[in-house]
Amino acid sequence: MAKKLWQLLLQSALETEEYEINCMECFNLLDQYAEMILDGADPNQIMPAVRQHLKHCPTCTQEFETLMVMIQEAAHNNPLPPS
Amino acid sequence: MEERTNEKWLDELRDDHPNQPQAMEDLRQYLKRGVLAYLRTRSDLRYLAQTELEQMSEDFTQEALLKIKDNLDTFRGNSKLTTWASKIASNLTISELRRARWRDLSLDTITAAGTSLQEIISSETPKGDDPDTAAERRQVWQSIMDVINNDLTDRQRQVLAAVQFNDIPMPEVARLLGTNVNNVYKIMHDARLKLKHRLQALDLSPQYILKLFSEEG
Repeated sequence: MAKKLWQLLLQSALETEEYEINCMECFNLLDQYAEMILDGADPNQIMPAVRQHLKHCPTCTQEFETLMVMIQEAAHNNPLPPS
Repeated sequence: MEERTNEKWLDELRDDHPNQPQAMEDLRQYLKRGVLAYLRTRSDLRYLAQTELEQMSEDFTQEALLKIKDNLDTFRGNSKLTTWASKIASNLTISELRRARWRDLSLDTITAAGTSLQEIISSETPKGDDPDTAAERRQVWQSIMDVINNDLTDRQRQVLAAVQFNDIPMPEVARLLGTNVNNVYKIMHDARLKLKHRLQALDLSPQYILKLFSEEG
C-alpha cells in the first residue's frame, strides 16, 4: 500500500544528514556521477553526497534522470569519444 | 560523428578554429538526439506529433549550444565533454518545460500549502492495535505535530508542504518567493533537521520509529 505523505516526510527527516550539499553543488557533480552510474558503479558507494542530495531533491533527481536518458541514448547510438 | 578527446573538443569549438563549424554541428546532432529521446519519455508531450517533438528538440538544442559555448571555460574535464554538454542541454530542456507548465502558479498556492500541512497532520491519528507500541507511537506523533505546529517557521511549513506534499518544483517555489533553489533546499533541509533532532531526543532508533508506523500502510 502506498505510504502516506506524512510517512514519507518522517522517513525523509530521519534520513537527513547534518550537512548536505546544495543544488548548485550537486549540479556541478552530476555529469561525473552520471558517467559512473552508466559505467555500472554502485550509487550507494560513489559520491555519497550526491546520492544523499538526490534522495531529498526531486528537482535534481529529475535533472539526473533526464541526463541519464540523454547519455544512454548516445551510448546506444554513438561510440562515445574518449575523454 | 568523429571521435574527439575532451582536448580536441575544446580546441575545435573555439571561434577561431577552422573546424569549428563541423565540431558545432557534431555536438548539435549529438545533443539533439539525446534531447529528442528525453522528450519522447514525457507523458505530457504525448499529444505532440513527431515533427513537433523534433522541432522542440531542435530549439532546445540550439539554446543549449549557446549556453555551452558561453561556458566552455568552466568545463573542468571531470567527465566527457559530451556528458557535460548533455547536462547543460538537459537542464535547459526541463527548465523550459517546467516554466511553461507552472507559469500560472501563484504565491497564494505556496502560502496555502503551509496551512494545509498543519491541517493534514492534525487530521491524522496514529493507528495500531498493538498496546505495547501504542504509547511510543503517540509519543512520536506528538513530537511530529509539535515540530510542525510550533518549531517550524511559516516559510519552512510552506516550502516543505509545497515541494513534498504538493509536488511543486523547487525552482518554481524559489521564483515565487524571490529567492533561488539553493535557499529553498536549505529551508527544507533545516525543517527536516528540526524534525530529526526532535525525534532523536526520543531515544528511539530511526528504524524503530519507521517500523512503528509501517504497519499502518
